[in-house]
Amino acid sequence: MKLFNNKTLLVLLLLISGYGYMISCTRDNDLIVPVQLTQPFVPNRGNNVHTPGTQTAGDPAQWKMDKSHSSVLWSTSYVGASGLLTGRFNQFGTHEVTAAEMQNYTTSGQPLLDNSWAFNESDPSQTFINGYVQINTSNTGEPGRDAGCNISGMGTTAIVSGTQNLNVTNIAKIKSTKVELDPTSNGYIVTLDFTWQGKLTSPLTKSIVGKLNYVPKSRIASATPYDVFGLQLLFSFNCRDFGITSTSIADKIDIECNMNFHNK
Amino acid sequence: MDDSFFSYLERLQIMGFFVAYPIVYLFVKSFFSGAKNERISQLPFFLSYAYALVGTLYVGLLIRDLYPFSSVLQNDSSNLFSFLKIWGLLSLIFWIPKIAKQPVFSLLHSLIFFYFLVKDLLFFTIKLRDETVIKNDMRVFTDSLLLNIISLFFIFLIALLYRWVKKTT
Repeated sequence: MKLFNNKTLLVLLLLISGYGYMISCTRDNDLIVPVQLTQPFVPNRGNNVHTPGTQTAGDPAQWKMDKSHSSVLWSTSYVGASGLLTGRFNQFGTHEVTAAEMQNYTTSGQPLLDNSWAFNESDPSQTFINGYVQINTSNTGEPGRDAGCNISGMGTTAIVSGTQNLNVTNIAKIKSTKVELDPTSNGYIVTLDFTWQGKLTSPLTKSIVGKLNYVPKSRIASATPYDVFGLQLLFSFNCRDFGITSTSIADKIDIECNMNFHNK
Repeated sequence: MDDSFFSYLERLQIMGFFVAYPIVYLFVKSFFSGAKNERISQLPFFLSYAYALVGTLYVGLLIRDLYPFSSVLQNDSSNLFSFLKIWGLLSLIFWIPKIAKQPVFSLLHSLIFFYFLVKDLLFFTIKLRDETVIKNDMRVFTDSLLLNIISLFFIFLIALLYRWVKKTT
């Protein structure tokens, strides 16, 4: 059999040209008809303005945080690789806690007025949020864990009944530094300063970006009608930044603050 | 041959005529030589003439290019007597029956154009990784394949018609 007979050469040339076709087939000439599957987002925001005022009861212009119907929830991946481990903080508030205010308060109610916030639906530059949680009030539904490894793992002290502990080791705070309109939703993009000592020797402040959603004002019909609205703030932080070494939780902790307000 | 854009166009132009001829030639030689049907078995005999016909069409294109404003290449005087053009014009010699009797020469003649295709395949896929040139080459290759097949069957039909007319008269 000759090395270069006609059929061998034909196969060779066909392979070369076939390779050429394969390389050149980039499908650039395919007729692609763009189909718009989703419509561009059109914001639908009102002009509601809510401020706390002096928290005077009965003044419908002054909005009060409804603590018993609000929550601060946390969640993280269990052992960093499994399903979610979740919990809530039983004690929290919307007050900008100053250094002087970081102390124990002998009360079972809110130790400080929840008045360090404002919300303007159409002008986010007028919106600001301050808040805090008491770390030792983390509640996962397992008392052994909440009063056990949570206390030592988070670098805080156990709950003292009848005392609100706003000491530096037991408080984590947020303070908004910038609020912008979210171009993809009716919500807002919030830049926060997140301050917590954790297991460090002194508090550390980290700038974090979160998402704020507004649940518009509604009238509640009752013997004395009143209005309610809601704010939901979502953000995440890395607990390793704050010296937390527990391997039961992942690096990233997600926080969800569901704040309900009324003007009763 | 320099690397100017006009030289590239000229090369694409001439490849469009001759580059796929080796495939047609080898296919016909492989599958139609010694075919049971007497007429079909004569198909390889017409390969040289089909090649010469393609060459003639190429000459027609060159003549058309000589007219003002007929082609982007017509003002480029450097291309008037390039190697490829002269090589393409040489395909006309396959009209000469004595040369046409050796169709392997037409294969050798056309392989030079196939060489450019192989060169582009190697250079632009391995070294530069640019499919654009390959895409152009393969479009031209497809056109050339169609042209050479049509040319062969045209010559074959003319020959059959000529024999039929000769037989009936």
